[in-house]
Amino acid sequence: MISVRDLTKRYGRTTAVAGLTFDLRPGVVTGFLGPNGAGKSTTMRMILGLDAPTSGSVTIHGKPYRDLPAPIHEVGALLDAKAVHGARTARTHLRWIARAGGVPRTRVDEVLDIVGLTSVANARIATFSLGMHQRLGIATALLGDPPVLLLDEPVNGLDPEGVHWLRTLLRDLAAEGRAVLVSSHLMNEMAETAEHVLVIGRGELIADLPIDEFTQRGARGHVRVVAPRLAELSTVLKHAGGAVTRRPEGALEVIGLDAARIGDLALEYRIGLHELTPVHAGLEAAFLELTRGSVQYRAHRGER
Amino acid sequence: MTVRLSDTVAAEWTKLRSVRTTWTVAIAAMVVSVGLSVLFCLVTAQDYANLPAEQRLDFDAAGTSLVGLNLGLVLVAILGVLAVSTEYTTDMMRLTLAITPRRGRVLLSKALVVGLFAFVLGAVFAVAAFSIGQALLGTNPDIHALALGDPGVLRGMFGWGAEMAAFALIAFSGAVITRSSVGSVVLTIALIFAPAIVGAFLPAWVRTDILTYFPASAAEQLSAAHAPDGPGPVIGGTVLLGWVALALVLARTRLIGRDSG
Repeated sequence: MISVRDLTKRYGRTTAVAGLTFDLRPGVVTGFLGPNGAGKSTTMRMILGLDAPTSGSVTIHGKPYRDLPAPIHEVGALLDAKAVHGARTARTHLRWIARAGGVPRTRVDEVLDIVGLTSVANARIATFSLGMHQRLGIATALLGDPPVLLLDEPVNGLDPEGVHWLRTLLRDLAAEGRAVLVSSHLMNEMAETAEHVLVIGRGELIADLPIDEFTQRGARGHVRVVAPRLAELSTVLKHAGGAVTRRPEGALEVIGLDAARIGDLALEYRIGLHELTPVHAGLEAAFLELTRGSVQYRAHRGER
Repeated sequence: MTVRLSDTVAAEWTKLRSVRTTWTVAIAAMVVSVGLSVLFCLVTAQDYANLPAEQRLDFDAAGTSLVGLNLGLVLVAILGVLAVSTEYTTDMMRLTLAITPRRGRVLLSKALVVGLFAFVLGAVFAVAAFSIGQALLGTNPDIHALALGDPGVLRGMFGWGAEMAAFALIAFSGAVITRSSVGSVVLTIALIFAPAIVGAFLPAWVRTDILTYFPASAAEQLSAAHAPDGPGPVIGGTVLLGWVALALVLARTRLIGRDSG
């Protein structure tokens, strides 16, 4: 569907995107993760032909975006939800886009309904909250009923109900066979939505893999163990090759041995166990681990 | 399915008419163009006897009823600026160019909409100001009022449409090139009035051989029923067209050459 090949963008001496190569898969929500300034928006602008790559290429069904005969029927995009003219109403805003994209007028009311803005269709956009702007942007992306959707930080400004709605919508769109690329700098948000992740840091691709694998690979989980003979168990586990940390509340955190192995060892040495819990690191931790060293704006004080 | 030029033009027209400012400025332009002309005709009709003899001898009835359009022109040019500058200030240009990635077509469509709208405004203002103005002038038996059918008058009406379209397009191009509304408004006002003001301090040959070919003077050849000395409406119109074409070509280069519009 969308093929990005060796995509590079330099502004003077600054490299915003460096040799990015990936394919967007149909039927899947792909999370596009990276810290602020990692090059996510620049990449999306290059896919849409808004910014010219310094080198490399992006093609949609083998063609550059600019050469598509009816672009919004192929790719629907939300770049910056606030970049609209506040003097228009939601309906007139969508009408000009429908007209420009060769989409029938009736589709405007359909997408307004999908995003839940029907009741404010005739209100001026200037009166909208950020969440409503996002919904309008998503309506814009859906106008042409495209097989590919690119959404840049669509979750920003949505209330919890809106976040839940968007998650369901994105999964439904993917289930219909569309390729959905959603950028975010909020990792845990993606854990609930995306099935696949692309992680970039300083313009470079760090990871391109299914989300489960990403979570496992990025940061090792640990196993939490509580036992009455803690010191004895600790020695046994260390001998077996585990890295053991003793928590002040009287538990052990074990890295390098899985729960099954720890249970077997305890049985072998006849040590009773009161708790044996595998703890997954979570997407946030996996992400921080992966992008360490590629964060552009790092606070040096107050960093843990 | 393929998106056609007519779709893009229709979209740009939807954009222009769905913003209230467009109509506020258009109405302001009408009030200035027609209102000032009417006032001027009222005063002239009453005070005709007090005019200097040589002015009465060479009385420009058509011009008298169209004075206001020279100021209305500035407001119509501002309309041309607003048609594009708000897309830069709101960053909506990215959306426009994502929806229609053929940038040359976007520029052409915007130009067609702005140009036609300004043309219609100019011609309508001219006919309205002329008709009311001549009726008022005609109340004074010493004044020979004109009709639309008199020589040069109809050409002058369309000439005003062309002049307003031309300046709206030059101002529009300025906004694409500078991406600044204030900058291009100042530039356009300077282009309209500066040659006449500066020209007064320059030798006569500069005025006749050079400044005549600046947009405002060239347009006057076309829009004045009572044509002033100069190369005439055909050459004037062609020169004006040349200025508009130059401005649009520069705007196109700028729009196509840059990232994100």
